[in-house]
Amino acid sequence: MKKLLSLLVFSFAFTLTPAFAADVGMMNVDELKGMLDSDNLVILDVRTGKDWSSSEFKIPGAIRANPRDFATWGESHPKDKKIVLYCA
Amino acid sequence: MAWTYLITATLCLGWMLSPDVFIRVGNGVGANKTLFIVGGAVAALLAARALFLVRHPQLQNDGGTNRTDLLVYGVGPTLTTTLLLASRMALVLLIPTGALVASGYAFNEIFVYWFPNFGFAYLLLALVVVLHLVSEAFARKAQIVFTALVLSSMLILSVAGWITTNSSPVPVDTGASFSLPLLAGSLFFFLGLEFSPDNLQTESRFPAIGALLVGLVLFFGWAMLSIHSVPAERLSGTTIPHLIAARAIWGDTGRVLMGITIIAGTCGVVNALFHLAIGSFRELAARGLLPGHPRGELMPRRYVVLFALIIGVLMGKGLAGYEILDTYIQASLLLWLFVGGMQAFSAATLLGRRGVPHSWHGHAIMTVYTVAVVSLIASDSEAVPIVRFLALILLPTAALAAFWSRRRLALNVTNNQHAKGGHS
Repeated sequence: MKKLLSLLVFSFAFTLTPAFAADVGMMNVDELKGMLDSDNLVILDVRTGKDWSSSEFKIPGAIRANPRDFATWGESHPKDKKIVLYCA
Repeated sequence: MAWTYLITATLCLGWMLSPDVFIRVGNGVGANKTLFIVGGAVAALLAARALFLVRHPQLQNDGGTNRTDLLVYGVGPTLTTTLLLASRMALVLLIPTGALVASGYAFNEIFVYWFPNFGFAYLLLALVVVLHLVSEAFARKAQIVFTALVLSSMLILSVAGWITTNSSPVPVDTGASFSLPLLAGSLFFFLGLEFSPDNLQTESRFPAIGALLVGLVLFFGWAMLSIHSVPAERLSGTTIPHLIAARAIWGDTGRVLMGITIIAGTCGVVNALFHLAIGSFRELAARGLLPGHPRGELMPRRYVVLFALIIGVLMGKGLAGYEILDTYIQASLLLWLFVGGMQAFSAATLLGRRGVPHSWHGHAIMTVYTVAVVSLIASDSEAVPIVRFLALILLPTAALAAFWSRRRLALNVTNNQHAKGGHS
């Protein structure tokens, strides 16, 4: 798990507009590791194509979400929980 | 001669030992179980029969008939140019784009965590380009190294796997379940047998048959090991069945060996596809069928650089990050299979005219391949993008080939008139 987490780069600003980018924080590996058992956490794996299919490392419980469907994320993911995007 | 045969056999193994095929083998055995072995055996038999027809000694009587010549005799120059140009361009640009990026991830996740995956993908591409720029012969010899690395890694992993599974056998579901796309997809395993010894007059079947046998043994052995080590549902539902099986067999050492297989297999398939495309372009150019190229010798280095530039741009633009790349690769493989069927058809037609018995097998193979292509497209959830992609590459190429064919005829007539005028 440590190896897995050491590879993660988290970005909240990945698909958001620059206006929102300043308000969105980054999360480091240890912060996320400490939250993995939380019920208040939703991890979205936004990798697509070979970026996702070639990788051995997938966070258990992460939900795949295509960045191109960002406009509809509000309907499919809970708004009252902390959402972490995992993109690489 | 043995050296030449070895080089040719390793080029024939280029696609067969690629990571894409190992993924298909893992998914296939997970989905079809015992039926996968039957499907693989039938696919190998069809590929072997097609090979025996295409390389039939009766076709050599006119002083050597390469595969391009065969297609020209069988289906005419315009369709030959269309099929070869479209299929080779699609294969040489798309499969390397996906394979190189996947190798970058393998290197990053298995070997050096801090090394950028894209950086490694570009390094591998540069390696293959440098091999070709040194000389085509040197690049052919390098294929032996790539193949030896893949085969030795897989051999060590397989031996370790058999020892492990024999000492601690796990319950295995050996039933037969049916998945048409994965079963018909077995035909993809034995593509790439087009290579022939480059400096011999005869088109010997031995290197390609040897490659086919090696591939068959490896696929069956690896499929059985995988199903003994990993639950079938896991194998069929993952995008990395080869890595999961390797880890299940021998932990981190297994991952390292599979990492070597992935990287060397990627170099092998990129190198082999470069040779395949250049070989076809050379044969087209020799007949004056390569659009924009005068009849005669090809300058292969220009094409290698062009391929590499386009692949580099496709990787840089992030094509591998889109699901559509897998759809395009699937479409390219379907076209490759269809071209193989057309070659068997052409050989059968020529051999039939010469009264060679059982030449109708080639027509049967063409029919099976065509039915497989159509059923694979129809059963694919991405059927519309596949058809759109095929239309997108085939129609403009056909128009270009037809234009070039007319222009070539006009040039021939003009040259003949000039020649006559010169003599009068």
